[in-house]
Amino acid sequence: MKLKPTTQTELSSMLARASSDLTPIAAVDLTHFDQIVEHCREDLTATVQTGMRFQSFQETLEKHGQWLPLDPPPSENLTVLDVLNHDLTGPRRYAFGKARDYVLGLKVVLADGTIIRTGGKVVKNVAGYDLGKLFIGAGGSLGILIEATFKLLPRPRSERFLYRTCASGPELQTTLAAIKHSPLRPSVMDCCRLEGLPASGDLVALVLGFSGTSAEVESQTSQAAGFGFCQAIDLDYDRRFWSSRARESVRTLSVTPKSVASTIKSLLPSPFLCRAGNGIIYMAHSGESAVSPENTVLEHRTKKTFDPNHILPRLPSRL
Amino acid sequence: MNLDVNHENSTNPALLADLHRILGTHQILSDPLDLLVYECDAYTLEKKVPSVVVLPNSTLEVAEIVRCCKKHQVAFIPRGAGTNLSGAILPIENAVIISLSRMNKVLQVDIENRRALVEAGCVNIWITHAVRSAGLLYAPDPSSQTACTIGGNVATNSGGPHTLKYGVTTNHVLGFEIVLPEGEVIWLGATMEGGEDTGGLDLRGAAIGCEGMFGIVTRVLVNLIPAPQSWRTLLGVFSSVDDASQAVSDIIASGIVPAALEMMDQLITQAVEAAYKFGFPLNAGALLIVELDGLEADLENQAVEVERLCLANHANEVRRARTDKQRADLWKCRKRAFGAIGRLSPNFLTQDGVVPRSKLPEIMRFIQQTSAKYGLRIPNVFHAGDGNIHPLILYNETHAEEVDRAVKAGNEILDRCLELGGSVSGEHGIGVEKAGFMEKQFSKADIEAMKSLRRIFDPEQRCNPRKMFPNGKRCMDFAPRRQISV
Repeated sequence: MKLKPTTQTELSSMLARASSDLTPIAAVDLTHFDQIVEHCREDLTATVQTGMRFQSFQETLEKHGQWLPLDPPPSENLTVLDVLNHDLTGPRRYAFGKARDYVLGLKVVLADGTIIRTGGKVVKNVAGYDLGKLFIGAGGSLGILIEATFKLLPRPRSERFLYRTCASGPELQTTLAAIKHSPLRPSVMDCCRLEGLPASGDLVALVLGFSGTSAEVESQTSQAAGFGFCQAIDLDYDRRFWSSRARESVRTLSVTPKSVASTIKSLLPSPFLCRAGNGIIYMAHSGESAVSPENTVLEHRTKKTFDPNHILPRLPSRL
Repeated sequence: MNLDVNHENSTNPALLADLHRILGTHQILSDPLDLLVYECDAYTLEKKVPSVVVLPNSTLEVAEIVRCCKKHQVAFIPRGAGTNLSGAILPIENAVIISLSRMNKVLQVDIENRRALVEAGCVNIWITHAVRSAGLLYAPDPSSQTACTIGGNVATNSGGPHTLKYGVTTNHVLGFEIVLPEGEVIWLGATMEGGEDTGGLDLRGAAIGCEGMFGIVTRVLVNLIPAPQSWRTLLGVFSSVDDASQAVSDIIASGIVPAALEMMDQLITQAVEAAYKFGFPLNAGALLIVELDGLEADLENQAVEVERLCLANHANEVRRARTDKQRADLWKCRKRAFGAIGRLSPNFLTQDGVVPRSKLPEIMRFIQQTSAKYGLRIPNVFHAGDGNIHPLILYNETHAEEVDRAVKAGNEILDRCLELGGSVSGEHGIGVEKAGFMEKQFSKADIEAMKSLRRIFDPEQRCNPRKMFPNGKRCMDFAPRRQISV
């Protein structure tokens, strides 16, 4: 069954009915939930309905020199809900983290139609359990998020992205380590082998980004030149990677930052995109999809507690 | 399950015998004198001497103790250094207190991956000590960081002055080992050898801040960050709290993200100065400590801007820490401020409410009015940049009527925080102290969802029972006695 509620009360009764009829929910269209509820500019917080397009949300914040520092691959139809359900991140994740670092509160409609709120709208809050964490990245398996309150940051006044090529294996390992031990504080540390970027044979492209005030970005850019980063680039490589393939066809590996270089070497010559600072590697999977590990007993118990009739999507896969 | 709630303090002999089979004699405390230390945490308004305290040396021992508690159907409570400020580890229901204080090692440091594996009883600051030479640090820095343990930090999702920029415990804990109340040992989140993303549900995140009610955390994998390249530490001297509060609001709104932004009012400043002799101006109505850190390239510009915003809000002067030592001394004074209260009053009750940052001037005025209304002095030292207040309500516990006034004043301040769109706790937790506020801050459905989450981890609800949620019976009705004498 596909749902397209116009109000939260309607969504609540739709779910209550589906729960008692044991009707699985195939999709929920939150087109009608597309408003910014509150933007407290001086507090750097905003509450938004999750059906709002992510780009529109960011554009509104940008007018006030603020942003939610999550940068999933730009896409016209991406909603705030998509970002939360799938815990989407982008190249700036290295410095800015993930959705869980910015969500202050959520409004959720549970499988039985109960509406709950988690957290609040202040930037520091330990009252009650941190229930919100359960729903972020849960793929809608435990409830439907309809509203989220975010902590915002001032938008960096300046950003610059640079790249160089690097032989995979030991040279990559040494370069990454040298950057980490240097005074550089990049916001982006990506490594990739993609069409349109000069990489051949053993070579991969290494991208560094800096975000901050003009003075900060300038001083870092000139220091980065000492590590061979002289060519300017934009983040279009990230968009191209994701726009040329379905998210489901991308395999995600999560390794320690230290093992990035050796893991990449074993993947060549397949195209890949890697958040080298975080140890996250995305690759188009060839042939049959890799088997992900089973969800744990505790995860299944959580699912059973919040969606006993299994009307919502199944649990997100483990890596 | 039927927990024996009204039972007088006594140890079940069969339980004690079983504990002796698991642990050495030196790992079990049951002598009343030894137990006195464990009668409360840093929330001293309610106390109860436990009947038995155990001191395991390993996860294996913790798991055996927990299984033993299950067998005898008794409750148990994890305990770190006992620095909690909300009575979250108050001994009740003849619970076995499981002290993690002997499991206190930094087990493994991985500089290249910027992570460290530590035991739950490891003191917060020890992690930074262990990695400082590599230019790294563990970011969350509660004022009690020289005593509080990482297990306790995970249980309460602790913050600290520098969490304004760097975030709280949940942002820096990659994963941990936890002994579930049924005795099973599991790992949540990233492992020492694994990547930071694990997929699946974020049960790690859901369990951080559970106030020790989901199980016993035994080992923790923390994330380390590079120490800031440079810093500027400023001290804004204001005539009034009102002006200082407005300066805080303006600094945040200006787009600068300070590493820390702390306020001390006149009363606390005088006590701190008497105790630690830093050289604070005693006639100032309020002081703002503003720390900026990061890349040297732009720090000076930001410092000048902060100075300008302070002066625009009528600061009398803005001083700067000129040396590392001055900066360290300043922070030592700030973090030990609660310790100076003894000079003002035999007892204090601290609150931990949060308001949207723009409401800071309003809540500070309300605190001043509340102080006048109840005839109690209320010094303030707090995380202004987060909107996280810490009014210290002074009272003398030998005057029962004064204790009541202190409690009422605290409650009114928290009510006001909620009215302003805030929270009753920014970092101290709910414990037994604020359980009555949960229904004011959350709906019945919200609380039911939280209880469901708890039952996933602890179906029998034997792990740190009767905390956080309002009970049919008020805590004081059945277990802890109000402290009536020193």
